[in-house]
Amino acid sequence: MKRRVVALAAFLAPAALAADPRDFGVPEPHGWLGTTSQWIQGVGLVFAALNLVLLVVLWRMVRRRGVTAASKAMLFGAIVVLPVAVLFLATAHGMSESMKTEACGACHIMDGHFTDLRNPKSDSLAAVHYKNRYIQENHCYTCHSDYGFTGTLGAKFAGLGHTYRNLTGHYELPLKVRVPYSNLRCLSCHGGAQNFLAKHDKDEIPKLMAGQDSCLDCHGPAHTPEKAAAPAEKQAMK
Amino acid sequence: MSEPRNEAAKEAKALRFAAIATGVMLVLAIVLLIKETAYTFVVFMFLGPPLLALAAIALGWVILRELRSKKVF
Repeated sequence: MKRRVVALAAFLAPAALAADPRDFGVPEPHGWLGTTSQWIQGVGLVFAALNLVLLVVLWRMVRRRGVTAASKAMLFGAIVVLPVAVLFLATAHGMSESMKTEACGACHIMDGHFTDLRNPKSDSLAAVHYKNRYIQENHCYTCHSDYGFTGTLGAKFAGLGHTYRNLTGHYELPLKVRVPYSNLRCLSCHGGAQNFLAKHDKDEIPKLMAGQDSCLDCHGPAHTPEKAAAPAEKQAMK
Repeated sequence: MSEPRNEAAKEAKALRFAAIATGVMLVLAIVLLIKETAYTFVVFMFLGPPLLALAAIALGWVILRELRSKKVF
């Protein structure tokens, strides 16, 4: 019996590490009403459905009675007011969902990176951040986007390019970052941490800030997709 | 006599176009809201706002014509 329990624990432990905290069984706080993202999605769907129903009703109304003042006023609501709200909500939902790790991992070409990230046995920098929950959510996006409005915009345009290249097959293996990875992305989280300050010389920090040394020199590799990739992909990577 | 009828037909056509364009945008939005993928997001972002803008222009054109016919301005 005891052996079975140990075997089951050994089997479930990696799965638990790879799972989200919600999957782990942590209950939501009392009075939980959902996340902002879930509300945006729900309200967006309700508005879009209402808008479609209104359009159908108006279409039939105009066909039966012709264009009246009342139908024109309702058309303004159905073609301008409600759709603008739906457009805003759907865009906000799309923007928020495209930041999720699953959105990056959805492309076949990212399989190796995605599997490596979620592999509890991997020691790559990304996997260490994922399995220890150093980053709570949007793991790829947190490290691969710059900060502020332009950073978000830049990441979205880069994502558009990734979608195009994935769709058309215009990419080269092994995948490489387009520009050298900026230490500032690491330092924006680790920079003020006591364990970082205790383990790094004061002379070292300005070099890291200036990009003369790379965090990855000591803490790399960032990803080990070749270890996680399927045999055919491994061949392609070589 | 046929002139006003033609005008009414043009207005009806513009309104029909506006309703269809809005409907297509709404369907794209529903697909994105139900299942977000890189492709549904890109299609929505590229087609949704232009379709809605065209619908608003068509509706605006109808309203403007009516205001002009009533000599509001």
